[in-house]
Amino acid sequence: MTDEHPIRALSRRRFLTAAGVLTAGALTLAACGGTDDAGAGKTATDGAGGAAKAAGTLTFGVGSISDYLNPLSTTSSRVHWITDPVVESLYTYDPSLASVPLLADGEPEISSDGLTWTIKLKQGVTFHNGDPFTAAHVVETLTFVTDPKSTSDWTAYFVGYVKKVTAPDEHTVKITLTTPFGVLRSHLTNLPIVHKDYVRKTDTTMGTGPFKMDKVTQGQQVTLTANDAYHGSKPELRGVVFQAVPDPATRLVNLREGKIQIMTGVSPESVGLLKQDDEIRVHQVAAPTDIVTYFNAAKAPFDNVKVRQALGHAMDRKGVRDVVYAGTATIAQGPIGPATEGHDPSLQIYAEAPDPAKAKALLAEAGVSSLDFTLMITSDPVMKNIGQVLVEGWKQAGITCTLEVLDIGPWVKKWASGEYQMAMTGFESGFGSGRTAFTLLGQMSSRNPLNFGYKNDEVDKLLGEAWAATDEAARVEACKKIDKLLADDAILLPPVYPQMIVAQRTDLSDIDEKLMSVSRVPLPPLSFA
Amino acid sequence: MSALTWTGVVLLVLFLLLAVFGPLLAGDPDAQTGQTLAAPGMEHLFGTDHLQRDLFARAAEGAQVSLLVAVAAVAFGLVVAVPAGLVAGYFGGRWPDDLIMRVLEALQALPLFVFALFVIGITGTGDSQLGPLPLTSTTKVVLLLGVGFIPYFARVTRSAALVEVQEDYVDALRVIGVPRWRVIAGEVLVNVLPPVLVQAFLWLGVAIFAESALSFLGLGIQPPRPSLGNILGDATGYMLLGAWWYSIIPGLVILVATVGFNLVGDGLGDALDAHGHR
Amino acid sequence: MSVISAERLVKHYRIRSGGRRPDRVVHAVDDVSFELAEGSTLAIVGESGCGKSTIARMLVRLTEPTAGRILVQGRDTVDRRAVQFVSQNPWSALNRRKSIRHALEQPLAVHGLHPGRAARAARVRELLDLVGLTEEYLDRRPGGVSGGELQRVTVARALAVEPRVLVLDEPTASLDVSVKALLVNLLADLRRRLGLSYVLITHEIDIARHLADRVAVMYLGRIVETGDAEQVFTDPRHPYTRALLAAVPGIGSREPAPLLRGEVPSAVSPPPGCRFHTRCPMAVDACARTEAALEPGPDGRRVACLRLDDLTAPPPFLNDPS
Repeated sequence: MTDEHPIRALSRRRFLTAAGVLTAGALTLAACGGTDDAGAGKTATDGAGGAAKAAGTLTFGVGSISDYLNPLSTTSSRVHWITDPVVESLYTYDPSLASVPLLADGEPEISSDGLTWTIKLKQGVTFHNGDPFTAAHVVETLTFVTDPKSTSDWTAYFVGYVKKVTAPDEHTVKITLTTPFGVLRSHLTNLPIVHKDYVRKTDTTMGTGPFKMDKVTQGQQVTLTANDAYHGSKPELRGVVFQAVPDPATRLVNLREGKIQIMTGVSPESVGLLKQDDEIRVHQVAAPTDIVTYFNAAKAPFDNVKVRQALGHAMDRKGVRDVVYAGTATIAQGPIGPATEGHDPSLQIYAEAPDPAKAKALLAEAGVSSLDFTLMITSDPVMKNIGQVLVEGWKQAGITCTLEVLDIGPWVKKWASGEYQMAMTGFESGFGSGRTAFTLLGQMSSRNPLNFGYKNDEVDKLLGEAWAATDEAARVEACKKIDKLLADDAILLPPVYPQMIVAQRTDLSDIDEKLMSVSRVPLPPLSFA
Repeated sequence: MSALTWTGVVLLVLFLLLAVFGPLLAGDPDAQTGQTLAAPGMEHLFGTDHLQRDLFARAAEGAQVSLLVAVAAVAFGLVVAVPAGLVAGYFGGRWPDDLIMRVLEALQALPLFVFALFVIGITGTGDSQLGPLPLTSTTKVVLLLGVGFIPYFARVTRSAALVEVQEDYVDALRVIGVPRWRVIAGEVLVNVLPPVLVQAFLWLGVAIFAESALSFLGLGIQPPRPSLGNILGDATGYMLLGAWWYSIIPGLVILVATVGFNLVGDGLGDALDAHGHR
Repeated sequence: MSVISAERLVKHYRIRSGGRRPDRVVHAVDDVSFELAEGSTLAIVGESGCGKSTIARMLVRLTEPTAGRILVQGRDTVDRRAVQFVSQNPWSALNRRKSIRHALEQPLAVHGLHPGRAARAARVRELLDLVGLTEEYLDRRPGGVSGGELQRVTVARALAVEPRVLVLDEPTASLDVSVKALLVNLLADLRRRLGLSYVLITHEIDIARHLADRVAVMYLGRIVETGDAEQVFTDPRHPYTRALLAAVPGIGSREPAPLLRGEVPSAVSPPPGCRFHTRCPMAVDACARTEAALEPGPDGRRVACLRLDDLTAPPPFLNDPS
């Protein structure tokens, strides 16, 4: 026994001393309100800020950089912020958010039965490698996103609607549809046209835009340089550097110090701090950054609409808005937020504070004495905060909710197979749906494989009308109605509509806030003052 | 008792007061108070966190959770390790001892954290199923830590048992007719326990630290259930916004607990040695 | 009828040498046989390392003989109730953390004797009474009891299962001189009252002389001389026995005894022939080649020496002074 003494004392003491020193060290460093070197995470390269600015290069700080830099592989803004200056679509948004031709030449010619779209292409446009822009590239892009076997989430926008894409000649594209599909115009305003040899590449892309891909350091940095052969008005910036700075606090410090000039992923708590800084301008815009909620309505307890409604009335929307978003969000009713077509500001079904009495009454009507369920969320900090606030709010109404926190991969797996009771995550649909509610509402069709148990014939009918309509006003009207129906059925229950927050330095010209409402941070018009 | 041991006692008492009585006296650790990231003051002794929750209530609850997990992990480790160590010590030099020592060496070669990452990587941070057995995230942490302690507890038990088995009564009882397992469990064990329990006490401090580290990384206790580690994990993001108390408090509590257990455990060990065992 | 019959016992221990060297064998006991008559005491004497403790362990079945067998009451089985053990160090022989009551009740519990709280308590009091201790000892731990009294407790424990034979391995070696006599008297008394038989392992010749009926002298794993105790002690035949007894104060040595040359050889490689020949004052060449067998002599004595005939006349210096 005494033999063990020195050994145990030595190894354990060493371990504990090290632990104590590390803890004390970390705490002191942190408490000193440290510089950007104190925390984890990368900082923008030293000197990149000042010297680059002089050369007309903008440094854009993002939370992370995907390894897959092909805009056709996903609609996520994480990739598209980077590729947006590099690629272009057939149509684009003008300053008033109307859809106008870009790579297309004029408006599309739609057959009387609505099943054929003929689009003429602009001439004299070249890709960054000098290849001329022709119909072949459009066909290749559209074929890829129409192929049910490709793993891109663009397929949700086209598969089942687009039958065939052909190029009758070098500057004409003909799209044949299975059914009238007016919302195709919106899709074509968002879908980037990629050089046919790059359609299936993963780590880079090739387009016709005002900037071209220059250098990629996987996961860390992407450099774009200006395209001097651009067919439109040339940008004033000579280059853009996207820098991954994972820690939001570090990103903030980098912005304040000028190492980066634009930052996304601004945490709501820091908005107040940033607004006090004269060198920083904060843009808060209603955008399609949605909190999407899903119920598995095929099984208990959420197969009963009254139970869902009870949950909706007991939801602490105010808590989420004030505590999680520090006021940078608005109370939600139905799934459609203020930046999306079909939003009805006058819709008032749920109060901002929970109504436990109403919830209890509804549960009683449903014959449920106590509600106990699991909410499956993704593991990002904002969602965890939302989850905790919601759990606490429901607890006050006597509803027990257990959080199941999963990384995005496992979350998607369980969501796709319906292995959940209620699921929630954040989703930005601006680069895919633009102003439409296509992704928000599409899943509610009773034929959609990701719809578990919800069937409303009126909704199905209206969805069909909405996507077929070529008249925008008709589509908006249909979506409004759908929004109300879904809100009444409490099948999509976001707590709030978060705003998109982008912060920039004032020595940079203002970012167009209008385009932010379709998730864009348009870089080509920017210049240093 | 030395000054160092007294310091340890004070620290430990402070920690235990927080962990045992804190949750009873404090308010609701999950309720929103209307003040985000408020500094410590009269209204909130430790301030509030980023979700407007009272940090004193959370720290108290977290301390209790961390303590319970540590106690459970150490208890689990003991339950497995002490019989193994006893058997190994009783049969010192013969094949049961060899076998047990081999297994312990293999177990010890596995770095606890790497193993924890591996297991939690596969089963996820939430609850899982092991066949018919439900494993909450808390249970997983308890088991992982407990398994990590087994080699240390088993070695101490074995060393003590090796010495104790030299005593004549071990043979004498065999001659009386007492079955071997009875001698090991009924007679040898009680003499071997004191050094083992001192070790267990010391490792309670390590357990609290290890659980805090796992939870800090997001691999241990899951929110909204507070643990000192996951509070600290949330807190680091708000450091630059000036919320110094949010990190200092849980870090300090962890430190107090770990050092307290360590110093008192050492004191116990010294007392045991001074007392002698013959 | 012999209550214990040991037949040609052999015990060899293997010591692992590790590596390329062959394992070594310790010849602890070689070809030892003896009988214990009912109601009598056999003393086994010799220096440390002669194998007497090994014999004791085999008798109480703590180890198995490498060869040979032990019959207890005619049967070659493990009978825990027939043969019990008293060892040298009472503080080690009892669990220091348990009370004396526990120590005495345990054998009863193990064998299901005197079931029931009252019966068991009565028997425990009876056992204490047998060894001359009072009830107040029951709640004490070994730490608070003196050596002599504690040894009496171990005797009481051994008696709990009502054995026929007690094997006593150096029972008085740890005790003070004044206390030794008390224990010896107790043992003699118990033997008479309970009809016990003893195998007494000791290096203390005067103790052996007091209690033994017969004696066997061991050297390096073999018995070199056996016989009636009084006879062997007054008239030792084997050169080793003579040297052993001469070294003991009080057994009349008016003249200096011949000093034994050298140390006890190692049991790993015992000397060839007669194991004692390296130190024997009477050794001749033949002793180095031939092992002497225990030759039965007159008066029930057996001596293992080639030169027995030359030794029959007792040397003058070992005459009984009376």
